[in-house]
Amino acid sequence: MPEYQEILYEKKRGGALITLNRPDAMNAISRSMIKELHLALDEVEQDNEIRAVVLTGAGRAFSAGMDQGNRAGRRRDIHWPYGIVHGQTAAEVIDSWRIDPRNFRRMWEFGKPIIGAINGWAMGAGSWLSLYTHIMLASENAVFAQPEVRHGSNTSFMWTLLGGYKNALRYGLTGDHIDAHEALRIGLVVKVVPADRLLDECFDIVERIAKVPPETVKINLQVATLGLDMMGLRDALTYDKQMSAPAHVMLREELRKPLDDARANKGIREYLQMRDGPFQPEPFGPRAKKKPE
Amino acid sequence: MPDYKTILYQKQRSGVLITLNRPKELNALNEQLMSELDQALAEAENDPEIRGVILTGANGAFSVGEDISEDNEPPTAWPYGVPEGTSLNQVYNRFRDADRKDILQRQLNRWLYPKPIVAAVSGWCLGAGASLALTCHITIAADDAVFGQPQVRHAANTDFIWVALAGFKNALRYSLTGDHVDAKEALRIGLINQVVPKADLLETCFKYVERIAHVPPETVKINLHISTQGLEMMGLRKAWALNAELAAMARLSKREEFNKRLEEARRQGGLEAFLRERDAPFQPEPFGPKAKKP
Repeated sequence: MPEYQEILYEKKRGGALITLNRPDAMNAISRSMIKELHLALDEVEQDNEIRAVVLTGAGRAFSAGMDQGNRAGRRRDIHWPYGIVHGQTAAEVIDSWRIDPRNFRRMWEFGKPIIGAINGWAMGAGSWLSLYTHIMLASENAVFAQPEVRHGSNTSFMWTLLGGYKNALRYGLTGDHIDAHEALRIGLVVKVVPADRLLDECFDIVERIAKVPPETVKINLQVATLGLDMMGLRDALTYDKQMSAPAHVMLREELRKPLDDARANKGIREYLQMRDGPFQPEPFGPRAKKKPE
Repeated sequence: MPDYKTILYQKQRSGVLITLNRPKELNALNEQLMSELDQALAEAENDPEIRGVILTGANGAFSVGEDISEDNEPPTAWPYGVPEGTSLNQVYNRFRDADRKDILQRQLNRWLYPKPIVAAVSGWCLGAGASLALTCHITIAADDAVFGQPQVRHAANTDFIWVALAGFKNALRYSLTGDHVDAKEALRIGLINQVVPKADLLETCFKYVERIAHVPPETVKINLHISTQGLEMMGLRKAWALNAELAAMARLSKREEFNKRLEEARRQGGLEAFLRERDAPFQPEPFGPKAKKP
């Protein structure tokens, strides 16, 4: 059994509980965390006692998104007006954004159900990770959003698939927060439950699934997931992946530089305040009433 | 009737002969020519006497492709690979818009055109010129025709039409290298319909148009669409949508060691010398007039 550093892996009640476990970093997704997540899924695949997975986050977030902290050359040292990091070529920058190291699509096509237990903030790529689960329950304090579009980043077609065209654009174009009830209304989650009931309710579903023959579960899962693949989801996600290159490298100095400067000189909190302040109050969630501090 | 500067528009024999007409530049494609071609196709579409379009080039060439001599950009800032004083955002956005227009709008517009477009190809048919000839519904080549995508040797993209017509292996064989394909090889791999002696090229094409003119127009249109829209439904539109994005990425992906000389040549003259230098390592070509080492 692998030694996990950034996730927790626990077998229980006919399933496996995988917990994203970097609570100090709001479970920001690092490359090593993705690796561990895939190792855990390998383990689930090989363990016949495990009939379904529950995926959740430790602390007050499901996941705050991709870890922005330790990736070389991403935000620092951008040379203006070019909008490219010192010493790099446009060719290299574009090329680096065309790969998909996350491979969340594997979760979509996974042979056992993955149930998302969304316990708090599910932002950016954290929201995408949640959308790739097969069944999703949210606690009352869950928030889904893609605030990264506000500084230059792409949305995921999974929002359009699950939330529908109008809703996906409403939130994908602004990065606005939505809470658990709005997520339920637009179809991202199947049920909203009190925070202290979240994991229990998810495992109740795991136990019910465990009463159905495994091969039947797998086939019925794939009637839905592979069916949507065939209907064009696979094509849309292929296109989506390529579009992340323009989305990330097309930076405007007037919008981006002040943010980068704030981040370099003052820190991440000021940076986020500058970026998100103009959008507050949010339409939903804990920032829905507060004025910018 | 519009006053065309870079094409010729001649109605004859149930059809219209549209000639790409920048003879000194071997019919290199620029925005003016492409937009006049749009207008000419619209004119032909609305003229019930015209049953088919023949597209050819002046001065013994079909077209050598996109006109890369036109350069209004400031010099490139290296190593970034974007024009001095310009953000990647601006250039990328411009390329994306341009490629979506050229590939998704213009190319699909010709592909879905309700009257048959027959390309009459003689001589060089390179790069965007090859895309133009190959997306026509019927392509007839003179025995001196040469198809190729030498632009991939600096920083530019291929066109999915090569894969759609010639198949995966053949398309990659030629698009990864930019190697020349002569008329006979083009026929073998399915890029074109027929090879004819150069003197018979236009006559052959007009005979096709005249035969098509014996079939009811609505029937011709429906049968065209069974093929063109059928392939569109099978995924060609998706492939071209992705192609348009990748085209912008390809054109922006400039490396100093591959692209600096091109830019100097554009700026200071000596484009021919640049092209000789670029293509020399690839000679002899597998086919065509450059197949024997100079």
